[in-house]
Amino acid sequence: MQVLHQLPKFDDPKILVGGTHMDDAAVYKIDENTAIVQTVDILTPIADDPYIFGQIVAANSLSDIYAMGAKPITSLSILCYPPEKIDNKIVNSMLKGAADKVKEAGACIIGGHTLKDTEVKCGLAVTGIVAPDKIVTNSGAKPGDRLILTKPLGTGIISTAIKANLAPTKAINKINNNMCQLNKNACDAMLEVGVSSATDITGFGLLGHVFEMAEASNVSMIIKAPQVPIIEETLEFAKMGLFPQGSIMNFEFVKPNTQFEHNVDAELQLLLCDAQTSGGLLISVPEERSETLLNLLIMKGITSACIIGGVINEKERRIYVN
Amino acid sequence: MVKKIDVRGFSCPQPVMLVKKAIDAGENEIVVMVNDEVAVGNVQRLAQNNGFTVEIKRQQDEKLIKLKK
Repeated sequence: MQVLHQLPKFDDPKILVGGTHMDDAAVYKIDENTAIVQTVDILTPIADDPYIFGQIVAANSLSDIYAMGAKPITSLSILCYPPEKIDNKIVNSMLKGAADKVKEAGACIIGGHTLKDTEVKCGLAVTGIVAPDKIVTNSGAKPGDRLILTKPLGTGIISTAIKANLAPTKAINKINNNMCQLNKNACDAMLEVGVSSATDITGFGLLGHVFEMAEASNVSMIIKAPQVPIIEETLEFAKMGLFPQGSIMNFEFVKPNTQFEHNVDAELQLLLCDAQTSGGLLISVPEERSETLLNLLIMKGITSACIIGGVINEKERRIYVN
Repeated sequence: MVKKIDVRGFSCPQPVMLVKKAIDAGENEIVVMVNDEVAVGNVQRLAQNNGFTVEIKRQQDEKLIKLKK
């Protein structure tokens, strides 16, 4: 939901990135060399295994820090659950999953807050650091850039298929691995190569986040649908009509600003809007460096990374999908 | 025989699961009562991809989806 635009505006000149461009995290300048980057995200269970769910929670929250080109340093856990229904062992596994993922990121969990609730919700508030002149925002995409996506799409649809008891173990394992993967290596690669802009793909789906980046950068973007990486089983479930409500809402949101060519069928259009959890980074990179970045991403183990389109001058629509 | 499925008050994926069950059981004519807009699109996708023709009638907040093979 987008309600934070209603938040009264703060004018502190040290706020380098605030709520105006709907960026991934907020950035506040401490001194000439350091700015802190802050984000918070909370999820309801998306995996049956509490240890895996904990890892996804952490990877998902840390992702906003990586999308800004920053390094996570500390985090606080937020946990809501009904103690009368949830065994302490489950809580323990969830927190261990989150802690192990935060350790993998080279950061730490140094506290948190727990409260009683009717259903389980788990999240992390993460703080990172970045040099003020090295911040990667979602507003820097330039005409001529190429767009790279680092993780395949499909977690929303496959999660719905899991709820419908239709997803095979193989598909479940695929999305769990996908969601548990940190965007750390992708962030390292983009910092090494130097990019124009980045954001992470989460609840608004690929096209929702493409729209945000295009709007914030005052450009239009072309997405080449057949080049977008998609988890194999997703298409089958899309044909079964297993789109979650969030994905349909994303589609309705981007539709007035998007031109779909005839070769992009209705299911693929929706699939490009599928709401993701702990999705990959969408990176806008100057064309002459795009192959270098792609090769570096693949060398760092991000084998799903693909060039999915490019940036053009601002046109009538924000997004052109062909 | 027309198979009637009432999924009013249900949200996805339940409507799709119930219609899929009927399709898998070999039903050729199904009428689905639904009031969730997302479910209308999803049931339509499922049915069309399984060779059904789809007719949607809207009455105030409720929709009647007629599926025929």
